[in-house]
Amino acid sequence: MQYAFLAYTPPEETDRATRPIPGALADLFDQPDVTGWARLHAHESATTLRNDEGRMLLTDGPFVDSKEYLAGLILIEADNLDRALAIAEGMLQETRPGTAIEVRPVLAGHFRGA
Amino acid sequence: MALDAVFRDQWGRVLAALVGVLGDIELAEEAVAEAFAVAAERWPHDGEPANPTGWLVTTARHRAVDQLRRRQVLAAKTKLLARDIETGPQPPEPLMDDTVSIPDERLELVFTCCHPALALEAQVALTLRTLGGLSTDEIALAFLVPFETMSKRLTRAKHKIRDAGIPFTVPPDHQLPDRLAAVLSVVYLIFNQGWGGGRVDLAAEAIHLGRPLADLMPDEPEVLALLALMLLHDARKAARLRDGELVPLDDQDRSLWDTRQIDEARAAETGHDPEAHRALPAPGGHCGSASVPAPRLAPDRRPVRKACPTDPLRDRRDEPGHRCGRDRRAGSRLDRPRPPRPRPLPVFPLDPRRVAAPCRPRW
Repeated sequence: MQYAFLAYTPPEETDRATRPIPGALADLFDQPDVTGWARLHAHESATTLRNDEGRMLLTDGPFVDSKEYLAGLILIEADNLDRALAIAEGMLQETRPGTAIEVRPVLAGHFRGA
Repeated sequence: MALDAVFRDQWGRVLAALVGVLGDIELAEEAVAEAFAVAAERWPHDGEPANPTGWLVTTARHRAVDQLRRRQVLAAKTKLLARDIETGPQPPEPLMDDTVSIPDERLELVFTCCHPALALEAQVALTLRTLGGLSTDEIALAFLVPFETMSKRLTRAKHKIRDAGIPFTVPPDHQLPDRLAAVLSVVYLIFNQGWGGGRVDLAAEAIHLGRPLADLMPDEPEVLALLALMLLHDARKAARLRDGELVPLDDQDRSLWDTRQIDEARAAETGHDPEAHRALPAPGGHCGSASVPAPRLAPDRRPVRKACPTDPLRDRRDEPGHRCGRDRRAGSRLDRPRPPRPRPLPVFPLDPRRVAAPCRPRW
């Protein structure tokens, strides 16, 4: 099965773009069970487009304004939820405090690499 | 055996076998329900088969194949089933080889239903539905929620198990303590919800769930301790209330205690460990002068308390452990350390009719 990890983190003080992915986490991303990943720029860079009954509304900023923001997306292959949770737990240990990972089964998808 | 007794006895077992094959609880439930319907039609005429479990599993499998055939989109799963059984023209009567034993997969099922990725209330409802064989109506009644709410909760949980890939398996050793604690919490919550009676006898349901768990995990002291605890408390059910008033332990009519159940509890408590059995004090040693000697009534609760930190029994006034004294050695078998597991406080509606009950849950 394919699972998507949606990683949420609290806002950062430092410029995210200048900070590399921590080495241990980068190693985990290189594992064969990771089929794709995307690290996102800070939430301030987001633009949200909303379909309001046919009218396209454009707003500056992320869709959900909260204490944590979507920071990245990781796609993995795992036999079942227990295995997916174990992989997520391994990654979570290499992240900043306050980070959360939402694990969602993938219904369908196509990834062409970045 | 009467069919309803077979149903009580076999529903969980047959359903578990079908979930093991199909990997889908909803589909398995439909097939098992159909198999019981066929049994209700045929058994009164043809007599009960020598191996009722095998008969029901085979019949349910055939029904599932029919169902899958109807759903053309699930062709892949039909292939999976066809590996195990003939998918040629169905014989009018399922062919049963009584020597074939059906593996008992209820443990896999209970660990699936009590997976921590499911909300606690969904775990409770699903366990009662799948292992206990209660109808959605009965579960809704027991937890005082509308039928639609309970139906949605069950459907959502079943879909999550299927879509998120919650495995149908007994967890590996390193996860077992936490996962077992989750299962025991669910059973214990069901028992406590049934304390003081109600429209659905949930205490009996919890014991009905606890028995096979103890059979299937005879080496897990917490499972045995929980079963013993539930049996002992339930054994005094008839003596606990008189005219709606609480009767303290000293004043209880001990002839109303269910001695058969007390014996069963003590057997569960001691297990098959002769050392532990010797460590038990003789019954009735410290318990006053009632006409019926009081058996030793206090299993070691510590393991259970760890499994469920919201133990409403903690300050129960008729707790016999306080009256009878307790041989410290008695608990040794049940004392293996287990890491505590924080659980969210369950939110169940209070039954207003239980206000007079001796133990009101504090959540």
